[in-house]
Amino acid sequence: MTRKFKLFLLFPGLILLAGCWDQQETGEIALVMGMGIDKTEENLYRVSYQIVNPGQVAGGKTGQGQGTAVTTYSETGGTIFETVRKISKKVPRMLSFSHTVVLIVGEDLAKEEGLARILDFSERYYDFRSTALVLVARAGQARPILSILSPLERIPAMKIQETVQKTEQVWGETPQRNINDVVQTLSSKSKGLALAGISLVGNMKEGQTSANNQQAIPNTLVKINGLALFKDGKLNSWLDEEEARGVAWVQNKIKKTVLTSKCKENKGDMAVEVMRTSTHVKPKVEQGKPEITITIRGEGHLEEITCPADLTNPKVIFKLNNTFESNIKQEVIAAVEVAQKHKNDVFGFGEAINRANPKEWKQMKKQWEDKFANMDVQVNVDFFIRGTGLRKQPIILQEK
Amino acid sequence: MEKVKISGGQLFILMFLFELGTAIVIGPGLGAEKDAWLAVLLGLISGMILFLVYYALYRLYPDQPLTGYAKKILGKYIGSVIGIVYLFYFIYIASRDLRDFGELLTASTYTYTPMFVINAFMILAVAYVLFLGIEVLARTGEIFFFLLMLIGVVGTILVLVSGMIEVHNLLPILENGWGPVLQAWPTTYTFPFGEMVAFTVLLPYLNRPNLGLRVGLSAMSFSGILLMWVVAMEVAVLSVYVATRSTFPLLSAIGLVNMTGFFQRLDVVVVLTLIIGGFFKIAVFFYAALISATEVFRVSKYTRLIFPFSIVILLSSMTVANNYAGHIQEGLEISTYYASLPFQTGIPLLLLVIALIRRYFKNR
Repeated sequence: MTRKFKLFLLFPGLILLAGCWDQQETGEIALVMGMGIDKTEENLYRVSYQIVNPGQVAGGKTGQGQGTAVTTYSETGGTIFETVRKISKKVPRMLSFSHTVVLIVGEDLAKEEGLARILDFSERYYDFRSTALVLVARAGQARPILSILSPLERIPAMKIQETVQKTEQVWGETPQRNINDVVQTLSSKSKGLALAGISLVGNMKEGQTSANNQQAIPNTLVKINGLALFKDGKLNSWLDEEEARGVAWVQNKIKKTVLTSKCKENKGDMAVEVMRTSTHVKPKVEQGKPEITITIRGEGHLEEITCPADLTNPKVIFKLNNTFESNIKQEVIAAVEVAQKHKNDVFGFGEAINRANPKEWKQMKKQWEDKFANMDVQVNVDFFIRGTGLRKQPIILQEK
Repeated sequence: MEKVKISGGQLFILMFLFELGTAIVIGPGLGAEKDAWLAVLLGLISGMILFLVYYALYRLYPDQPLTGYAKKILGKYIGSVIGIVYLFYFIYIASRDLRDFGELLTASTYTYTPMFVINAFMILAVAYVLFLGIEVLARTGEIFFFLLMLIGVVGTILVLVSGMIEVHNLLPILENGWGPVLQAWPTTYTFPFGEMVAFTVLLPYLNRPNLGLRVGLSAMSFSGILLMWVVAMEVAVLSVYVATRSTFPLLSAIGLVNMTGFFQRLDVVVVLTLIIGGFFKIAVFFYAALISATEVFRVSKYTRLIFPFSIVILLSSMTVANNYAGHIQEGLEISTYYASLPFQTGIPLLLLVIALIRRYFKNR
């Protein structure tokens, strides 16, 4: 073989290197950012896909036309994957799930059928990522929520994702749970599931037009709303505000949050920003009776105070600490009581007992629901205000 | 056999890549659920003991592969039969590994590409490197070793930093006693640690024979500890429920990495790991088959056999199972007990015992 011939042999390689067998040009795929699943009256799934309109999202002035940044398409079918392909009748491109960030489940579906069936596809399909967040459409269906356009973030699905993230980071009431987390808790029989709820505020029709984004106060928006508790994979009850945050306290999921309290004699209010919290759940089994001790530690800064309190006096600060400690304790106890009422171990106490006392756990595993409902839960809270911000004293120091 | 020598470091790297090979992606020992890492540890310890057998045989016949000294120990005829069955065994395992490789690529990224095409390209690459000789394979290993270590270190840091590790997923240790661990033990022992039997063919190339033991044991323990970490990490990240249900747990676990929204979608790292590991695993088994064949059939140059063997391995990788479930079931049940145990443990042990007895009588 001459040198030239050998070189010539390299050329077929160029063809092979140029692309792969299942190449998909970007012009042929439709990026699904959000996905919603509802149940229709005929007992089929109605799956909605929020798809990006690339021309509207592209940067620069030329890219932004008059259209909307996303379009939501729906299709019904007996299985999810069926709709993924059947939607080709409406969408001229192949759906691509590699950027899907939220999966919204209609309340009826969550209540009646649960999540186990609809998650199989998203876990199994090669293109889908288990990092997509799962939310429950509170008092409604997933489809309208996906169809609402949003200001600030052109792609509504990303707006939802970021809202959930921010809520978890600074408010702590609702957790971020992705598909993987959900499947983990669903498969573990001893643990209930808690997911963030989402609901629509305002008029749906108006929210679907880009005019919604052109107003200083949008007519329609979606907001994170409450905590959905699941039992045996099915939606069981909703928690709000303090109760929902109580669940997060127990699960050690509070990153930052704000606690408010009335001052003594109702002379005003105060708010602290809580950070650096940690929760330890310590199980104990005595004579077949399970017990849980929850120890919470946290610190924070006083950010607002509207009552006369001498903040330069450490003893006053200690008293404020106590007030907030009992605040946190109340939230936790409220959450525990609700969970016990529904016999729904959302905190994973069962697993904690299994980890600490595997032998005793094997014996009580079968009657766990009842044991959980009647068990003793002790809550200890240590909270410390570390600083008072840029001012040493409140404006209203002397009460006349 | 070729007239070349490889250094201790090169042999270490080959063994290391070989051990990780496909095992790191498939997740060995998950039959033991939370205690998978313990099953891997047991497999590692027993595999290291087994390596002592191979090493003892190697020191008795330092310049011959297994199929060579089988003839010396058992006589020309029985020895040749042993050689032929080993030839089949090596080809079988090479094609199984090729199948593993094709299965992962078709399941994860090349969904619409026929597996035959993927496997054909892989065997083409392997055939090419073997055509150039064992020394080239060893030097290729040196390059990829550092690449793989880099991937491993970066991947580990990202997993740790993105806070996905939930240690309590691994607790309680030995939830159901030693039973499940011992049940999973044969599979971790034979795969990947017992597969070191392929190195009975490569050990004679070592330039300093006295290094053999140190290199073998250190490569096994290094890769074994890494496998333990990977399996434990998979369970910690995915929880035992998801990990045991995953076709490729490592792919699922790494796919969850999301650091500050910037470092994410790292699946490709796993695919790269598999391609590198799979390449060396297939190459070593392929090479072992080639050398066995030259010993048994007295072929002067093994390069002549590369083409026919490639075809055989490629076609058997396609026909070895109907589907992935069948492939894995065969690997866990039939291959473990009927192929791996006798070929990895039974025959070498027998050879060593007979060789020692013969030596004892000869010396008297």
